[in-house]
Amino acid sequence: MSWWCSATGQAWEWTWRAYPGVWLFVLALAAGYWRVIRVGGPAERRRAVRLGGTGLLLVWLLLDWPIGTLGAGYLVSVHALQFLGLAFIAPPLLLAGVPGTRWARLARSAGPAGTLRVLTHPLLTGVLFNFIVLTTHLPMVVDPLMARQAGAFLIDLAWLGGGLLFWWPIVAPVPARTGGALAKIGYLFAGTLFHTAIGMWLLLSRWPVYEVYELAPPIGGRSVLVDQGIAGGFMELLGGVIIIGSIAVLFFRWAGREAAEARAEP
Amino acid sequence: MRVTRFRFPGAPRPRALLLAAVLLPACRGDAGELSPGGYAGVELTQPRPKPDFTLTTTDGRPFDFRRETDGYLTFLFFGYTNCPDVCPVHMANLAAALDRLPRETARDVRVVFVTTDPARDTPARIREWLDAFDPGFIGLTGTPEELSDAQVAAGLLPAMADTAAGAAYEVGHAAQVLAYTPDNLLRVQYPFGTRQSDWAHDIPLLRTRSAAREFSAGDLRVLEAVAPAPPGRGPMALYLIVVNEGAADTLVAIESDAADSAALHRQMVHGGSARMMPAGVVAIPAGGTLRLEPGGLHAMLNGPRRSFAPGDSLRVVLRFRRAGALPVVARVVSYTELETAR
Repeated sequence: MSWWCSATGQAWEWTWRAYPGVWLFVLALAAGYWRVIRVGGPAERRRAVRLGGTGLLLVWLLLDWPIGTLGAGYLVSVHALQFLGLAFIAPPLLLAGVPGTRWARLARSAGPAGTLRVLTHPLLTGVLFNFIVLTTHLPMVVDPLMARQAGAFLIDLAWLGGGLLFWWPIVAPVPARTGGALAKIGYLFAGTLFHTAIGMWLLLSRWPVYEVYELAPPIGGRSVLVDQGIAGGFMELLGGVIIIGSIAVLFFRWAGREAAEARAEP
Repeated sequence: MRVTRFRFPGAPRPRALLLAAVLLPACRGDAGELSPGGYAGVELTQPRPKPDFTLTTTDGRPFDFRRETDGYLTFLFFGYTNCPDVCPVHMANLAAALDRLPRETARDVRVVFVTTDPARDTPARIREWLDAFDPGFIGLTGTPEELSDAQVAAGLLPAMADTAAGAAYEVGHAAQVLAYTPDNLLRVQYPFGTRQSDWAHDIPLLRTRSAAREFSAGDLRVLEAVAPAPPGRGPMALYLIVVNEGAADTLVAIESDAADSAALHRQMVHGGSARMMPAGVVAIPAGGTLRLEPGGLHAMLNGPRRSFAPGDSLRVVLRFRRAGALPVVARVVSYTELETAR
């Protein structure tokens, strides 16, 4: 039995497989998240369960059979979906679900707030996230890591952790920063340059980029190169929709606030 | 580019790989290096002749492997259509690489798939399976004995079916693709792990870097077949040497799928000017030598079907009255190289 999804070289079968490592990881994440959200009132908790629960469910679905197995060792397009889900969708949901009460407590505690101010500085998180995105898509990193359970776990963890860091300055109210919506829009745009470039690379590459997927037992009847093109398309289109959608939300919120302030002025 | 021989750690090693070791000595550089001959595949230290076996195509026709692939770059692979991993990956990657190469390069390549599971691989099943990769791939089958003999002739261990596993049994078979250059020699083999970029790197080399200068049929040997590259698509001269080590024979025709027509010509000098005259048939005495050379008897290929450049090769067939057809691969050379060689 495997504890984490990795490339095995075995022919694909629609037979359920257990990955206890995934269950333990998701359970640990859920337990930790519960500790974070239990401080809020009923309304806050409902919101936390709705948003955070969706994020946790997404993490579990992306890491467990069959998506986890397919993405780890068979289809690079599914691997791209995992990346988008773990780095671009689940983290903002988890962060958005944290109750305001928890953020307020965090803001009051001098020690953690100070550390967070450094760790979640947009410059650092933007650089770190792009570094993670770049390195976890290099063939020399992906090919050896995906063939090992610990390596595949490392990549999944890096995406989720990098995503939490990246989205923190956008979603989390603590630590409070100056700059406003326009700075956040600029941050989002700059923060996704590598992911866009990688998507384009997958889309336009003349040969399969990753050995692990090129030599995987075929599945679904489509060629490795076509699947790689789909992966690139996902990175460009879905990634683009998420980022542009986020930018649009930030912009319209900012515009709404500006309009409200203008109306409030005598 | 190189064959990196990717492995999936922790996975049960496919039985196909257990039989990957062939009876052929091979050499290649360390990972990241090309073989001494510049191939990404595993180059043999000692090339081996193309095996001689006849099997049956998917349309029921006898297929003399040596004769029908003579003069072509030929990839030979023994596998089965229910193979879950090695066979479809090899076929898919080879087809993808060929698809991206220039048409004239791919046209000179033959891919021959021989089943190792004749019980389940009916001709129709083989054809359907191969068509999913490339309709041009040749599928062969035969009796279990014929297939076993063909594998042994190719220097491989015969495949073994694990029939104890029931109807969905697997077949342990050699996992490498054997590459025979147009001079009918096995020079390079490609284990599981060969990538599309490796194929794309090696195919043009294998097609044109045939080191062989000698082709034979019966008592006849053809040496040093060269064709100087003409400017544009002008007529091409063809020079070669035929050594007859047997009874007298006659060269009756020359053919080539690289040109609209081919003919023997003799250069005659009359009154200080050279003229080309059709040569008709040419006798080769017992134990004698026939030379097609500049300034004398030579062959002309009229209307080349594409532009040829030094380093290319072209396939011609010499027809002899007694020895029959003798396919020859001529190297396309520059006029400078031709002068140097002679």
